[in-house]
Amino acid sequence: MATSSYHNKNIIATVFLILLTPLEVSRLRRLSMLLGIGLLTGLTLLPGSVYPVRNFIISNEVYASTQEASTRSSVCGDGVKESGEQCDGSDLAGASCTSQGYTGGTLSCSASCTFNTSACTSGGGGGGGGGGVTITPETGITISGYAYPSLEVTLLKDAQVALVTTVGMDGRFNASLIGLSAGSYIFSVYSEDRLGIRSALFSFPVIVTSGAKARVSGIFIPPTLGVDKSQVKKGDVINFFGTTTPSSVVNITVNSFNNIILQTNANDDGVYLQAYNTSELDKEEHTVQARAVLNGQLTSNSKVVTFVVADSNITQPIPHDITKADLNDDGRVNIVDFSIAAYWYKRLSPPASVDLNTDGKVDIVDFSIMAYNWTG
Amino acid sequence: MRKYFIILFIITLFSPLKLWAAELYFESNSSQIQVGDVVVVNLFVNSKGDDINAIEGTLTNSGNLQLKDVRDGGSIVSFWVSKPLVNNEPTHFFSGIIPGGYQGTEGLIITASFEVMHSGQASVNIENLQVLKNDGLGTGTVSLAIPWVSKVVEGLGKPKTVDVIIDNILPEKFTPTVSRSVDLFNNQWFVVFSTQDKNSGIDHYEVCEGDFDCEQASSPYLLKNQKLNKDIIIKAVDKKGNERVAIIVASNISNNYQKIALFVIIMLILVGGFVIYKKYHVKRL
Repeated sequence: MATSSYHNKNIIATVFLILLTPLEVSRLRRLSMLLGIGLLTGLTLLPGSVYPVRNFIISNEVYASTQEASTRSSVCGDGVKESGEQCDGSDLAGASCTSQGYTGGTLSCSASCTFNTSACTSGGGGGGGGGGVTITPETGITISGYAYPSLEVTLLKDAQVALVTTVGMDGRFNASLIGLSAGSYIFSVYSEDRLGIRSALFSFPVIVTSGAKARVSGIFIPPTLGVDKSQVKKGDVINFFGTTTPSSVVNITVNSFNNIILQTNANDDGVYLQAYNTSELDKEEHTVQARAVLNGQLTSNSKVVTFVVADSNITQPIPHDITKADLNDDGRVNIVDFSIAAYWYKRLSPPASVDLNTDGKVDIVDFSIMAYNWTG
Repeated sequence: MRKYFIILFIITLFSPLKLWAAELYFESNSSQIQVGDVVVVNLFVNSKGDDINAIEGTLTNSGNLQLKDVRDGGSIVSFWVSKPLVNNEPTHFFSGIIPGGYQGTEGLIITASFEVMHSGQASVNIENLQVLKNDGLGTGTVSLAIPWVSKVVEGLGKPKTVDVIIDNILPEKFTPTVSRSVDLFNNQWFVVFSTQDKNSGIDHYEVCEGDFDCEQASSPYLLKNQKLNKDIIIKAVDKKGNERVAIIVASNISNNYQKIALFVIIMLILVGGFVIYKKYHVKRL
């Protein structure tokens, strides 16, 4: 609601400015002023402008609130622990230092209605030694590794977007996510190159313990991979290209009767290109994958790309990372698409867009394809 | 148990390559059980080096066991197409996915609690198992489930109950999303939501829409208020009653339309003002 009133103040101010515009100014100057005010008003009011609207998305008939309700549905400071609060005043909801993973001490409630564990203790006590070590725990995870320079890396927590960070020019990235509960998680990271081609998801299970930050280093995001032709005339050249960490060596495997392995180097921007003459390939569909090597560290495979060797060439549009399981065409594969597919699970006559392997039914195979293309 | 080993031996004998791509197995807190016990059985997957992303099967139990509870707190399965239902039946179908895939030896799928009802041999198994590779094609693997078997004995003393889980941690934060699609609910607005609780597991969700009563719901949920002019509140409640609440604020949507309308009005005022000025200026000349 604060947003609305802020809007109204701007509108009133704008109208006020218009009314105050002096009548005796020259026609040109007046026109310029009016247009300027109009432009300013437009920039102020239009959705997605620099105007500080709430963190809110309207895109392709999807909107999502990123607001955590705990700040709205409960009143912090009323002394009663409510939904969304860990505690409120002296109401700790039965929690104690020990329930928070400490060995002792006094748990209190912070002004923001979260547990204050600064007076909790852990460890210590051994061999007649006194006291414990007071720590301020942050339950979470720190990740670091290599990706595509100056581009974004998305971290998924249990398949949902948890954070997005920007990679340095040298291809290194690191990020932290705190405020997690103790437990086991599946984290995944992916990136997207400048052509809009997404990497394969790189996933890793992590057990997060209370009061500690798990550290996962050495993540090496697989390269993106594209081809310039979806069909290539036997004997013509097809180009394989993509992005990886700068100065990596890229191994490209063309799956044929005998697998063909090509090798190239990524430049300082992480971009690589490898031309390949298809004269030795049979006239059929082939798959190709890429892996990058840097300082002895090897990525997992890129996404699989297919092309056909035949009697003519068909150019592959770029970007051609068709997100197969994006059922609602919002550019993402996430819980919305999952929900649509789940509705059609084992039902008769599913829509063609939901039947990902075109076998006339929606079953676990379609969900596996969706999971592979997941973006969160 | 013996027959399983014989089958395994025969298959091993005639199999020249890697035997199983994935293996499901159970682990229990009880080595001996008696009538009245509540036995907790964890179902794990060993992907045997493969990258897997979908698992489907039917959890079956012998007639002398009764499924009392299924928890997915800490499960590697992020989204359930079908979560095993707790009922008196001996079969419980499940199907779920692991976006991004899983490669490991100890991926927890579910934790199931059974009450021992009668004497005899108790067993839990998985039938019609499908484990699919994370290869973009949904390639199936030759997978195996190793059953859990235990003989019900007598004279173990007081029946065991399930350890009380201390859980005062809210379910994980989550972001519900409102959407619509021609492929679902005739293009009407629906809301989707999902989160996890790492301790006791999610018990249920509730959706509260404007003037309508809150109701227990599952995702996707067809919205009653298709005008979207009221806040939508989604509660994720874990098995210990801890609630995580998320709100989709309706005013955000109306605000955006309101902004466009106001922009048009302002522009009309400006243009109108300019026209009047022009007329006034021309008359003066």
